[in-house]
Amino acid sequence: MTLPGDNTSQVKERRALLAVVRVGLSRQTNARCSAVVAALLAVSFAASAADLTFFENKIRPLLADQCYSCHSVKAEKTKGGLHVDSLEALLKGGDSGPALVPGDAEKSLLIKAVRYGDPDLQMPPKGKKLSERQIADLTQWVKAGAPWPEIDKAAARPTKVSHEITEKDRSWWAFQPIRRPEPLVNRKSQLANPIDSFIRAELDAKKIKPNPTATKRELIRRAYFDLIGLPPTPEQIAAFEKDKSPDAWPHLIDELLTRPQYGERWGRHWLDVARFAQSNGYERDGEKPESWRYRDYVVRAFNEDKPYDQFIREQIAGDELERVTLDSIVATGFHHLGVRDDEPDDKRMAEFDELDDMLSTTGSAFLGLTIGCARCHDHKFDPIPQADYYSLLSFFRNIRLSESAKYTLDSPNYVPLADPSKVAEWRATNEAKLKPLQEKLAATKDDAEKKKLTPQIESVKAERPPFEFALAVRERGLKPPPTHVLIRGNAGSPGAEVQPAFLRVLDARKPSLRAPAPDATSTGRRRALAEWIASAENPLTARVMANRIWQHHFGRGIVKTTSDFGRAGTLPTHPQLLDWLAAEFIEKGWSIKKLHQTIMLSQTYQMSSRAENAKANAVDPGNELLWRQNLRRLEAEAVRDTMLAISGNLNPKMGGRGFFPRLSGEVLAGQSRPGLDWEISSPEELSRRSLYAYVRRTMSVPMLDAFDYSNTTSPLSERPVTTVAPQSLLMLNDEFMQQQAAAFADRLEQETGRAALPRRRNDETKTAQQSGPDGVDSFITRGFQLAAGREPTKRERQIAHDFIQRQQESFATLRTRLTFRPDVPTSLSDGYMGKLKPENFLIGPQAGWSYQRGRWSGGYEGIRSVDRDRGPFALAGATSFSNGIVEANITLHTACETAGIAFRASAKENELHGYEVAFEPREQRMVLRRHAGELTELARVSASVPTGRSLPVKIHATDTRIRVWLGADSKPVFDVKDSKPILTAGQVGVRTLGAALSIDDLVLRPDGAASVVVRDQELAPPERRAREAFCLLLLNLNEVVYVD
Amino acid sequence: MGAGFTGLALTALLDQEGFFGSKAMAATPGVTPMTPRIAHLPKRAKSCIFLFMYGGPSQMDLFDYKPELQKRHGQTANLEQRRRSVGAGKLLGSKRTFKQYGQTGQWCSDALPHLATQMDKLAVIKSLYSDSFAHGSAMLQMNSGRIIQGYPSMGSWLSYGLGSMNQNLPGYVVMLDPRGGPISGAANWSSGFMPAAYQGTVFRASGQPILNLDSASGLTAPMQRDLISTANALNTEHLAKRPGYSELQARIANYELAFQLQTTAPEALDLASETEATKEMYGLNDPKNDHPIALGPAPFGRQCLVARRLVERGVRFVQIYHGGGHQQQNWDAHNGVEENLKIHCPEIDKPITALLRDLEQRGLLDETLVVWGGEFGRQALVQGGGDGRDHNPKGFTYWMAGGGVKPGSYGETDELGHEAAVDKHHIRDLHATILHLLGLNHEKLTYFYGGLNQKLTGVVDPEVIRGMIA
Repeated sequence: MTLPGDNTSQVKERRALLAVVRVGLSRQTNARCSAVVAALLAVSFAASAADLTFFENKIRPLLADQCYSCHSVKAEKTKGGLHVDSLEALLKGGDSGPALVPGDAEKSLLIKAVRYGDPDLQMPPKGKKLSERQIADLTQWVKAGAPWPEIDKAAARPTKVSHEITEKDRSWWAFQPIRRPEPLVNRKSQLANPIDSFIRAELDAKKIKPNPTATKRELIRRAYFDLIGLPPTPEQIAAFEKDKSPDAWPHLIDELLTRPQYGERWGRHWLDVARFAQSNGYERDGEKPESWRYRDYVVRAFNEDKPYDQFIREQIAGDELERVTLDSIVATGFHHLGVRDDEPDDKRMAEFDELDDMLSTTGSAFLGLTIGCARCHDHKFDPIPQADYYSLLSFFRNIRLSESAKYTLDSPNYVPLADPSKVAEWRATNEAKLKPLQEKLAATKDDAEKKKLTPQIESVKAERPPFEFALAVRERGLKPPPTHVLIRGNAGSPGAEVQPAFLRVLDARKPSLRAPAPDATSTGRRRALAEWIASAENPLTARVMANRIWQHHFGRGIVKTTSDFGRAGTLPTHPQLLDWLAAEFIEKGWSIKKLHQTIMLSQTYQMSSRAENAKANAVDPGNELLWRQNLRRLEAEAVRDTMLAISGNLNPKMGGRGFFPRLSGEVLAGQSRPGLDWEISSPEELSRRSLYAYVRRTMSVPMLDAFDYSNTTSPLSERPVTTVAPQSLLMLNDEFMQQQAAAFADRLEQETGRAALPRRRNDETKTAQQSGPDGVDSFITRGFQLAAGREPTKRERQIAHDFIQRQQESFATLRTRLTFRPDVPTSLSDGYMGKLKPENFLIGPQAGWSYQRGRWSGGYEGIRSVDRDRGPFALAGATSFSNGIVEANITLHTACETAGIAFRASAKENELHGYEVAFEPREQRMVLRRHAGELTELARVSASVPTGRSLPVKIHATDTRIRVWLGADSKPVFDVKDSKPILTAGQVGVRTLGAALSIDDLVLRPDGAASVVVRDQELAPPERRAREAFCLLLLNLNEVVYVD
Repeated sequence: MGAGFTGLALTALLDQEGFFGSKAMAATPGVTPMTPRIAHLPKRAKSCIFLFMYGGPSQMDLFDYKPELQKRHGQTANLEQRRRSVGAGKLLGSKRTFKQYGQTGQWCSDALPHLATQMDKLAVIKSLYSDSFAHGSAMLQMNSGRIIQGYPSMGSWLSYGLGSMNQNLPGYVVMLDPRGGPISGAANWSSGFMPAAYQGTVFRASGQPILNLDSASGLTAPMQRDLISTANALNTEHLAKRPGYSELQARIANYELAFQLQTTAPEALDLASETEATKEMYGLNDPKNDHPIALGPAPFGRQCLVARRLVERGVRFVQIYHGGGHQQQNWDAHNGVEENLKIHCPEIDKPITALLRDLEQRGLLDETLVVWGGEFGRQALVQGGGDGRDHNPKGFTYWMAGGGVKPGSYGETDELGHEAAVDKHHIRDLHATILHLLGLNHEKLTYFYGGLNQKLTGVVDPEVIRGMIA
């Protein structure tokens, strides 16, 4: 076997050299020689990537797996005095002498031992001999001179960092101090807003003319969506268009910034960066209780225009500030929002995974740096040595890591939200209760009394203090554990110890860590870090945030990689503008709202987004220079919120744990315990803003996910914008959209002042007052106003009119149609099943129908599966009879698996009792069954059971005889006499699985009684349904989800 | 909900060099996340069907014949049972009988009598290992290369790297066991930090295959056709005033596509055109055995048959999860390996055999890579009072067939079947090999995120398992 890439003589020479060097080292050469050796080492290692790859892939894992448990610094008990976790240790050897002679496998005890040639020297012991391949790998490695990465040695020498920061490193643009540039004054026009002068200078240089100002209608929509994420009402648009004063625009901005919806909109942008979610992820994906408080804190912070530097301090070290507030405690929940594996493979690694999540998120959110890249090695692009990573990590090292929620005063990650004096009072009371019990326990020798006392003590200890709690940071005490560089990021290979230090490329000074006050509960390390980040001197902080704000006003940042200001990121398109914004941001007290005003008052922001300038398109097709605004699609939350706003359904309630979006059976089916830990929210809750949709890491909500929602597991700073067919399917067919269309129709009817068409058929009084053609006109007009924020054109009015007319005619043919849609997965967790109402299993007409969930079996591990032939069903309350005829035209929707018409039917403990004609399109057969506790097949025939088209069925039951006809055939498909008949009168029932079943003209003809046509008593008249269809159409228009 | 369809316009700033890496900031007309792309390497396989045995099947009871373990049944041994937790336990020999089959002479146990006849098609690797003893993180690693949540799954990488060959179907389809999804649910087919367009689309093998195919508003197909045409007439006027914005055009096109999907997606599921013999071969007519948890071969058989229909239609990556829910509902045989085999082997045996034969008969096997395996294997030691086996990521078996693999046995575990010993391969090597067979170089398939050119195979260099490639 050969080492990868070792076929050149150069490599051979290098190996020889290595061997010499190793020997030299082992002989403890003098200092001068060592320096030479070190230099040689550095040179040779620089050229030995393949060797090192081989070492890291084959040798280190082998040594770690097979030997470290007895032969490493970390071993509980070192055997034979030998360590094999560093080259030095191997060369030094153990009780038997040096273990290794680099370059000479035959003389190396290590090789001798693994070969098992000597019965007294066999390693690993007890017959756990390595494989031939492993022995060959080791031999080869020793022959090659036992190359070992320099970085380990570097780590072992605390004074030396692996990466020396150079002048070139420091000269990177983003590391330069922020200096407020002078606005570039334009010769032709004195541009009042410096933003415009910076933008114009670049455009002038390319001789591109900027777009004119957008129309007022475009501007007000842009401002509304940008600042509050909701559309303006037609009245707000009209008022703004009418207001010709020069202050109209600044007033509009000011007004929007005072609305609570502003914080909901901009808080969400921050939540992406903070990788906010309400669950842990992984197998159990348990809830992080109270994490919503952090979300609400962020919303409040934006609404209060909390200075950004303070916002930073609170999140990083809110518990360590001069003035600790309840909000600043909640803010520290920031550190605990990450994914957490509650069943980690390796607990040691899991600890550092959590710390890494904290550091990486802090680095990307506030500094726009990918510090996490330096966890295992020096950063590949940026001057962030691995040692810097661990120095920074040490600021977080003392944080007590997450556990499941524990509402006690000693919880590692839950903190009472109460005045400290109140907490102290409660603690004293609790201790006063505890003390006598403990004393008694100590004093007693009576076992019986001991048994009595112990649970009493436990229960006093476990008393939940009468406070609200927050997910927040707590530290381990005043003495933090040491932090070591971890070699290759491996928690099992600690290297040199490091002390807290900032990023050396920015600031080589030692952090001034004040000694914590005696009554402090934490070290104050995070405070030092927070002060360093939230400083006007830090060249990154203000630039990064100013750039984020710019990003959400223009669709992308001046630096497009908004969380990467390093070398792998993109360069700023307008560096001076960015510096000006950052300086302005700091100067105006880190006020985010003021920065919005500054940006939005610029001519640049107010430009039209039309892309018609041919020259500009040719020179700058990507609009890098901002000769126009960008047309933008709304983000996921804004799409959904806009639907609610247009329909008039939007519930403005703020804050709290949030609501659980309704998930269809298909979505639930993806869980290992379908429905587990999901809840059912009321219709009012379901109409809240998307910000309040419960964020569960392993459960994506289609309505949001389809429109490129946040990924929820790691910081996300730029959401992609995709345009995909499932979005259209969702917008056309989803139940949420149908509900909004119906509510929108209600609203239009109310607001157009016409007598509303009945939404439900039994509002007969209203049906009489048909609105005339002008009623439709105003319906259409108002619809366009609300959805698109404008009047329809004459042509559009006509198109709409014709559409409603056609739909109305189609709906008229569906007057007697009944549709039943199955809506649960075939397996469900017990808990979720218990939360469902019977009518949630099968969605169909309500009035006059009763629903049952059918038979679910199993119960294994709390999961039940539907019995395919005995699933959810509905019963028509219209009439009950024993002998008579049932007629219907049934349509099995595509993908229907099995459907049935039942008669003489009733419900017994959720299950169907009676007869059923089942249609099985997949098997192309029909089956006649008796359901009576037992399921009995009375007859079965092969028959063409088509999906997607109507099939006339007639059932005739006369005492024990049952006949069934299909289509126009005079010969029955079934003609059966049941020997164990069910003769009691019963209802007609419906069952379907897989896809919906529609029934037209369901007619019941009981013997000796009048016939009944079964209808959906609540089905709205065709006029109304056509208008709902039009409302759905409006909600689907491009104009609704794109902002000019 | 999955996207992964073609006909998307990626109006954000994505291009093949990765996010933000290029000057082409404007949406490029016609280029979508799913536009078919040129592979890095000449390739055999166009599609991949990944049969995911969720729960971790027992290697020493199926393919990894360990006579020494059988011989030492009941004896005590010290083995690593959870990470760094070495403890004594009683060895559990397999009760299955093993035989060698075909020209390759590969071992297969009597638990899979049908599949045993196909051994000459299989390249079986017995020496895989991975990094986690726990389902959650092991599942993530098998799918995304990492034990940490938040990385794109292999199907996402393939969709990103190769695009899709069918404009009317998702490029990356996931099918789930009727008993429930796997642990961590959608995280397993997530696109991680890539756009949602690359995530897996859950495709139900029964009922409506994808979400929102049936209208909640009660519109019939012609009525919906009318709605789409009318909306797009209005959208076209809107677009006419905004020339140059291809995303508006793309959204118009997607409404047309959505309408078609309502026919094409169910069509892929409609087995009416399949012969009785085919259905019989896949076990669709076979009854289930009397175990209350068992499903019999019909559900998985149906999914395998649908998988064949999907790859015929150009779907790039189909992943079928066999086993759902918890413990004995999947391959997680803590409570008894014999019972577990009795439940699950008959569910997969005929269907997989049929899939391999069917693909071969249709000349599709060469261009379809079939992969079989779970998130880890099982222990040589007994767990609990019966014949249970605990998780074991230290040595386990996968096999691949078709798509340019070389049939035969590769690698070995130690004599107890506990740990990979000869020609050990981390699962990143398997990932690199799968990418390779599909024409992708794992080094070149990168996506820029978080300051790094991210790769499916991560930062440690993987080794393509050449021995498994024809």
